[in-house]
Amino acid sequence: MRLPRIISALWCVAAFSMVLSAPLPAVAVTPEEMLADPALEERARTLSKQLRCLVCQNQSIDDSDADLARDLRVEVRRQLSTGSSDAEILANLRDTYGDYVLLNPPVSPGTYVLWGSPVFILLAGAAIIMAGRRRREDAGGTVTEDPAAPPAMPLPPGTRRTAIALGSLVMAVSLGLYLMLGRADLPGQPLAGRGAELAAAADASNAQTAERQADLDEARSAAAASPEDVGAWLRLAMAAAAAGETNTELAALEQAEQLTKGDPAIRAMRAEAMSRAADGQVTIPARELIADILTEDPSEPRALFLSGLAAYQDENFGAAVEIWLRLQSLSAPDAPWMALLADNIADAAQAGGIDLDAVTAARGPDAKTMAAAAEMSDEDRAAMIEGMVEGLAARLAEEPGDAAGWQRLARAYDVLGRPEDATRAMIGRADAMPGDAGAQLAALEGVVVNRLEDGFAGDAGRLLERIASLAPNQPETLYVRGHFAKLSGDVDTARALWQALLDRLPDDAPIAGQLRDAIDAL
Amino acid sequence: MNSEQNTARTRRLAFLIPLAGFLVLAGFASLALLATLRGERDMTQLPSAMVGKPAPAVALPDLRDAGSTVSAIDFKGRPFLVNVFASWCAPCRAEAPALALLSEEIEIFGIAYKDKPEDTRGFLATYGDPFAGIGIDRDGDAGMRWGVYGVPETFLVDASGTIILRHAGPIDRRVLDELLRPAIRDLAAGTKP
Repeated sequence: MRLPRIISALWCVAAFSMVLSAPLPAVAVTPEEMLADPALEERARTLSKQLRCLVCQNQSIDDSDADLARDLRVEVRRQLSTGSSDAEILANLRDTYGDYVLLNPPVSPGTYVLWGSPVFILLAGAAIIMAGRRRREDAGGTVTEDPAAPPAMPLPPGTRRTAIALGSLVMAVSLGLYLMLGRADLPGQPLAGRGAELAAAADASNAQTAERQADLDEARSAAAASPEDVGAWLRLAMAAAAAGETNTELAALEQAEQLTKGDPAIRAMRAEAMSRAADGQVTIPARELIADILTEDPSEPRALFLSGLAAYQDENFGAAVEIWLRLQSLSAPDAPWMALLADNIADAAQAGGIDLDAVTAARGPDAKTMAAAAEMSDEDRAAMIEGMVEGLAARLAEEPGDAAGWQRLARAYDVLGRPEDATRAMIGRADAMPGDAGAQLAALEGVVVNRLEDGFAGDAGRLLERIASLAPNQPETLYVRGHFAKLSGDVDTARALWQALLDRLPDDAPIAGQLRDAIDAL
Repeated sequence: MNSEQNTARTRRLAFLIPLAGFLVLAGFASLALLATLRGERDMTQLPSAMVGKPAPAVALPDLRDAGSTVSAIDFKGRPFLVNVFASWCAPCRAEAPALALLSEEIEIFGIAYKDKPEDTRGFLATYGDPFAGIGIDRDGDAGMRWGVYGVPETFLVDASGTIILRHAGPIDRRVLDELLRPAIRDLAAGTKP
């Protein structure tokens, strides 16, 4: 029974400190908001105290300086002046902002627990106290009579006093600390003692700014003196960028761009400046510019970098890694942006949970491997390429769904002079994208061009079936199906298909004559 | 002797009741915290009372055509987005690319909230203009009719002019891919037949 008493003592101290820490009532309403009629103003104040400031969430709009709170106060007063009742005003605001706008939540199924729990806790507490009292009355004499029963709490003498003293000390110290340092209404701590340090830093930065401004002025007059000199405009743009004057930078770059008739590198610099003006965000206008540059010059490094950055900012990390890796493979190993680029790629890969090794492996040889290949003897190079091709083929055997991988493999076999393997890879690609008529036709074309009809009869049949349903009337489909029909000895079908093709061709088409001969030969 | 032990035990158990109560409360709190950490519950999203209600028909001065007015109901007849933005709002800059992507799928009505028209124009020139129409809400009146807490906020409205969804805060990749696009797709699938 002693320990509970200590606890209740501590509770009293805690409750006291909480009362002290409750914010003093602050009022945010300003004189110009107030209504002339004191009775209406009084109602407005009462209403305001019941409405939650939705952006501060635990203040009423009467207490809050937030913009939205002010708007709501004005709205409440506007509705009051038009004669709405208090209940109507609350209902209107509740319609727009929901129950949440009311500081006193309404009783509804969702808030039964909220409203019920204090009552429940009170009743439960009363029940416990009653039960305890009855038990003590029952136990009355028996406890002392029984020598075997130990005292309820066998504490050594003095423990109770020590515990109370310790507990009070802890409470008093924390309360004191709170009142001295932690109170919400304390003024901000001045930066006393840091004055000299701050002044020195300000001096240094002022000197730097002045220097940059001087550079900028010089560059500006140089550009004005020779307005036909692209270099002068570019120097002005750089000086403006250093001085943080993006508008001047953009204007200078536009001049340089006009002089060079839209040089992609200068346009890319402008896209970069546009992004810098927008605090680093690759904005939509900048993206449009970048897209233009890349259609003209797909390997413009600055545009590629920004395009990767745009993807990164869209959290499209796969695309960002892809674009930046491309830039990496296009760049010289000692290009100034390589370190930053590598960091960015690692960042994007981590953010997107992308396994960089897998991506680089799938992309095929990178710049480094290619550079190594250039220094090798022809035999070594062929061996290296074959090694890589086999690696790719092995991977595709496990992941046959990678259509782009199949295409890369086919191209590699073509280069190595292995048409049969190339055709097999194209068939793999067609199987990887069974809904793509173009892929089926490309593979079939490989079979026909390389005269591999005998070896690939089964595959060809499968692909033919697919194109017959995917693109039955496409000229290539008609031709290829006719070709295979002829090979299988089905002359009638071949003739019908080729005739259909011939009907679709203009009479003067160069192949029309050949086709007519072929039909006659049937 | 036996009853003595029982009383002692009951006494000890009674003392545990507040502890049990505390544990129950702590359990609820930690469940909510866990859900937040897992991203299933977003503490920044407050309930909106406007979902399911008709879009407020406030006529606003047209930013692009001085002298005429524009309103959300002008867009009725097909699903559309309403985006409340301002040039002074940093998150609005962040969501500009997402809005540009969305503008390819659906029309967006912009409400320039408490913003000077010339500032709004500067903002659109820098960050791009994805809007099919822009109303000037100089004093935030329309914002209040929409139940806006702050900018940016985005509402999805169906063809009949009923608000389907509200998102407070900038549209990031996740909001775009997991909230807005599926909702727009559902709406398009639902209205076609």
